[in-house]
Amino acid sequence: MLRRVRTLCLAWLRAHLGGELVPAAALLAQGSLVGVLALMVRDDLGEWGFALFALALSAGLVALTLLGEFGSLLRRDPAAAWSESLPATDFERRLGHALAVLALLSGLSLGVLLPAALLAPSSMSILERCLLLVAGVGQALAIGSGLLTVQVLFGQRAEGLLVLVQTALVVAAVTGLLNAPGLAPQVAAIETGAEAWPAGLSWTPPAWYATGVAPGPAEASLPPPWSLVLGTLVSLAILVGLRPAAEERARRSRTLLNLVLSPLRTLASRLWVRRDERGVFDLVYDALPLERDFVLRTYPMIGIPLAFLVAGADGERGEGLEDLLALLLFTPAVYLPVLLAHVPVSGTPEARWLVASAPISPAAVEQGAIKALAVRFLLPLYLVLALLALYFAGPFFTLRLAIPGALVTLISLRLLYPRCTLSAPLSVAPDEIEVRHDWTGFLLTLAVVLTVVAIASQRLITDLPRAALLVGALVVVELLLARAGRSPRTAT
Amino acid sequence: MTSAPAPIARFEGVSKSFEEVHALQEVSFDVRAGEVFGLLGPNGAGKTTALRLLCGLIPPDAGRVEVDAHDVATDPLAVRRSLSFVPDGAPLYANLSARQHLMLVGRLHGLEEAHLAPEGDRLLEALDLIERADDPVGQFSRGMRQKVALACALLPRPRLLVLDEPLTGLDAPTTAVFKEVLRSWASRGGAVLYTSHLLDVVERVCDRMVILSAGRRIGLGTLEELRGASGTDGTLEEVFARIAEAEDPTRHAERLLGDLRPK
Repeated sequence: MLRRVRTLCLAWLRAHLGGELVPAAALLAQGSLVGVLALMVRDDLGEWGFALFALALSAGLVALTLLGEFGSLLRRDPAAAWSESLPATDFERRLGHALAVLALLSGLSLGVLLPAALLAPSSMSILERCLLLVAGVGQALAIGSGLLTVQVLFGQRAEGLLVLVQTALVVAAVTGLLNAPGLAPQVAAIETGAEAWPAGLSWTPPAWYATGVAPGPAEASLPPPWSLVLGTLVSLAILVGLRPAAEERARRSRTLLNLVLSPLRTLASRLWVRRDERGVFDLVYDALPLERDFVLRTYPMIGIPLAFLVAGADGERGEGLEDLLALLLFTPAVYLPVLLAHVPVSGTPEARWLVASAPISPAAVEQGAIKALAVRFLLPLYLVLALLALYFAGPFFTLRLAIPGALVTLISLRLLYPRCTLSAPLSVAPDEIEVRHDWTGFLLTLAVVLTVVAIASQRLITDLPRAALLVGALVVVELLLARAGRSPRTAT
Repeated sequence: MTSAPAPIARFEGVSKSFEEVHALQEVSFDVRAGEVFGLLGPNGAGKTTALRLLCGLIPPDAGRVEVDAHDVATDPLAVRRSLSFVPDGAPLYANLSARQHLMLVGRLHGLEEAHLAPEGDRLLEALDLIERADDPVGQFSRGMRQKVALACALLPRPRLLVLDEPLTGLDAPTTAVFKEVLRSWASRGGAVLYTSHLLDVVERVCDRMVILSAGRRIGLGTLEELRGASGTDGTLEEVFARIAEAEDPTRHAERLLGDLRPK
């Protein structure tokens, strides 16, 4: 039995990690981030406070990884029909799967917390540092089993909830990272009792598991350490007991958003999309939002600009928010590389023959895809942003900056598409998608440029005639880029 | 004396390699209007490579591939306007419906909007798919997907139909219909190039055929001509085995099973 369980466990791990047994790149990136932050806060915090801080970072990063890159671990084995015909019992298969999840979660958690344990405050003993690592694994297990339970409970309808959870996590993670150094004194004040215990903290896993490392503040209502052991065992039982939901084979495209966008789509098809672009326009518009991996990997990243709003809003309304809203209107293009890199994703990439063998040029494929992305993704985004701007800053501000912001994003879309979308739309399996950008170089530069454009527009476009002039200039740029994009290229 | 119809597709000394593997080596043949042409060969013979070259999906290393007098290497779009291609297994986008696939193909081929929907529905009706025209094809059986793919291939009215294993996974009545469609398309002036491992069907449907093995052409002509070349008067399966110098199937099966016995 043990041999079969071990074989199944290794097969699962290899299948999900693409042949490698250690996801080195992910561990290195997350570990480095936590290490830097640990160095920044170690002198301000005691043992429990530092454990809370490190475990909170670990919770966010592990959950994000589990919902994104390693999301398939929580889904049903695609080769289940075959593997279930093999002479292994159902319990052996479940145990093999649970051990694979456990191994991966332990690896991720240790990768994140090892630098934190090494760089912990000098007051932390060796035992406490070891307990921090153990608590991290326990917490990762609780998160994994919690997400699996959500998947099982909601079955095929879990996607909307998962996107919401993941978006909330992105917002929390980015907000947390933005404010992390500033939060340390607050955690220190709670730890010493200088600040009252926030009731909400009692409901967070990092606060529970931090009590397994060192005792929390006296007035804190936290579970006793033995209950953490029990909770971890229950998590393990959930991983063994629950069967991941089967993958949805196919989904319909009738959604409320489609209905709302329908007149705009028709208008765009008649006035903007050329005849040779229409096929790819329809394909990207209809099929891309139904690709599960595209949705789960790209939609939650909208949390990045949202996190900036959360971090910067701080309860203000009116003029104080205008700079921030200007940023929101001009910086969605920072999100475009993530979106564009995943345009080739498809659960059925073999169907690429439909476009590949059709008599249309690569330029028409590109233009059709760009226009579909603009209508299906940018248009609703800007409708929401315009409503936000209208609510927070009034109609004058919205008229002044919403249309220029949308045009800047459309122009960015045209410029970024050839750089970020490396294959034809819906032509590559999710595991084989190639991303050629990084957060420190290209994306940071893009963010800086767009921020400068946003601030300059907010300062210089102070009346409607100037706004009309800017819109005119941007429309000319857009038309010139569209024309250049249609110029004949070598067909492939 | 009547001359042979003009070729719609032509391979002239075509070679293609993938790193160390020679997928095709100096292969020549042509496909004429009004004929169903079979592309045969064992697994790994180079059939799929030949089809991908024909559709301009990959360029040849040497030689020339033409469709309707257009060179695939220099004018792939003109080539693709003349042909419809359906790959093995008829893979389709799982989340799109049959009707959406037909609209997609019609628009990719630049067909008139007014013609698209009625013609698409007529094809779906004829293939008994109209009731499920708006269901995602991911919910369809393989045979139903093959039907959708065939409808997609016929919609642009191509001069050349290129089909990779079009009959695999079909039930007997649908197979019979598909065979008739191939024959009728040829009799209406088009041409059909198709690959199949079902040699009994090829024998009945194809006018001429080419046999590839390890990337080389080892036979070309009508069944009678191939019989003559192989020195056997049997079925296409026997002719094929002789030309491809395949191992006797009984001996091969014995070699495969070795000492294996049921428990």
